[in-house]
Amino acid sequence: MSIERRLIIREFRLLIARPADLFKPMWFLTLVVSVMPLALSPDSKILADIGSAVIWVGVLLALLLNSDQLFYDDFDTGVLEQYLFVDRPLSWIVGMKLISHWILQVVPLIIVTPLIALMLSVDGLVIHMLVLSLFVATPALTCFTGLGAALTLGTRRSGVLGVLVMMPLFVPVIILASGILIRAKDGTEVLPLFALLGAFSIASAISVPVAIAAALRLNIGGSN
Amino acid sequence: MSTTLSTLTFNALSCERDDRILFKNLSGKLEPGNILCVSGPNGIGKTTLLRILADLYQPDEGSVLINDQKVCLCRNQILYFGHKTQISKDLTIIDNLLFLTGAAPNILQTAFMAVGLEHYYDSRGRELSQGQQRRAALARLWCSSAPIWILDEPYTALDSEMVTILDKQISRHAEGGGICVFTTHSRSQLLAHDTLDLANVYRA
Repeated sequence: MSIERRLIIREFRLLIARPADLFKPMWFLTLVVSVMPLALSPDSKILADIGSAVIWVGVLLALLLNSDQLFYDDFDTGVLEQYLFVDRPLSWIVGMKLISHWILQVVPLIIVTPLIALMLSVDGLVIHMLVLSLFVATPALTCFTGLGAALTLGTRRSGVLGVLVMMPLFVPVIILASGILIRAKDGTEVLPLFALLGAFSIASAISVPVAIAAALRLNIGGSN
Repeated sequence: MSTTLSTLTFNALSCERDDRILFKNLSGKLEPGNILCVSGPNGIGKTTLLRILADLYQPDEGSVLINDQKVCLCRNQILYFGHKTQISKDLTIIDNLLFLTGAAPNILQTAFMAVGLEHYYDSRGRELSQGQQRRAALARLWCSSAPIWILDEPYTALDSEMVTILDKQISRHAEGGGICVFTTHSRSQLLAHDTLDLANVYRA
């Protein structure tokens, strides 16, 4: 069995053994979004106006919630160093891990966002754009959370530090995505922004795994 | 189960950690069939030496070669068994081993039989005792075709029965033309092997 298949099967089995990893971000997103009308105003016009942005930020924070777990298990059990003894580059293995993380944990989160958007009476077209922009942007976000997780792997309870490392990288993604949502509301052309966002995701999917692999190698080299 | 024959050479290895010289100018060559036991008191650098041989840690000077090639080019010839068991507590041990080895189910079955875990296929890592987890992890040795085994403290937490089984497996590996480097603190195992006592190597 190839290492790629084994990796994805393992991630899948781990998720089944620990369903909380899947439901915690969803739960968190629902919570953030449902307290928003209480704090702001129950006026459906205001909610529809800001709803998509609130959900976008909620998804972003939900992604950060589990991010320090990404390599911690492998590090803790000693599986991480075993990745060096397969005849694939470490960055390739990292890429596979990021892909399975995206499919198994991020995509389910995106799939529930339309339901949550309906709760805030967001406009139908905007919901479409919201979901699409999340699909295009989350590969980049997943890469960045992975980078933060890898860089702070050796430190205990590294959540805050990792987030600090990742935040600047998130900024361009958030700007582009909010641009898409604003334009969708105005009914103007969104394609150029989607193209930029997609380019950003593709570029980070290609380059970030290499950086993550280097960061992981530092951690392996330094630990007994 | 070794299919290829390899040699492991280390030339003039020097390593310093926290301003303390662990070893200097350490050289050696392991031919097919050799077993090397690295011994010495705690903190003398056994694990560091093994990690250097496995290319997990960079020495300050010197090089490690497998068949005259750099280790990073032929890492798949190494089976490295570290302090951590590689057993995830949330997965069944059969899933763990399937992931670690990629071996066919029938090979895994024989491996579990060999380490005496044939009734625990479906137990999760957390349900096993420390010794059983080590046994499960060591089942890798029955599934591997890597010619070079680098085992860091493989005898930890094992009962005497399992120690004998492991001894036999290492001997069988060496008879098949494999190489094994391991560290241990107990004296009883494997009489016919070379010992590298790090306490007696040159330290300047």
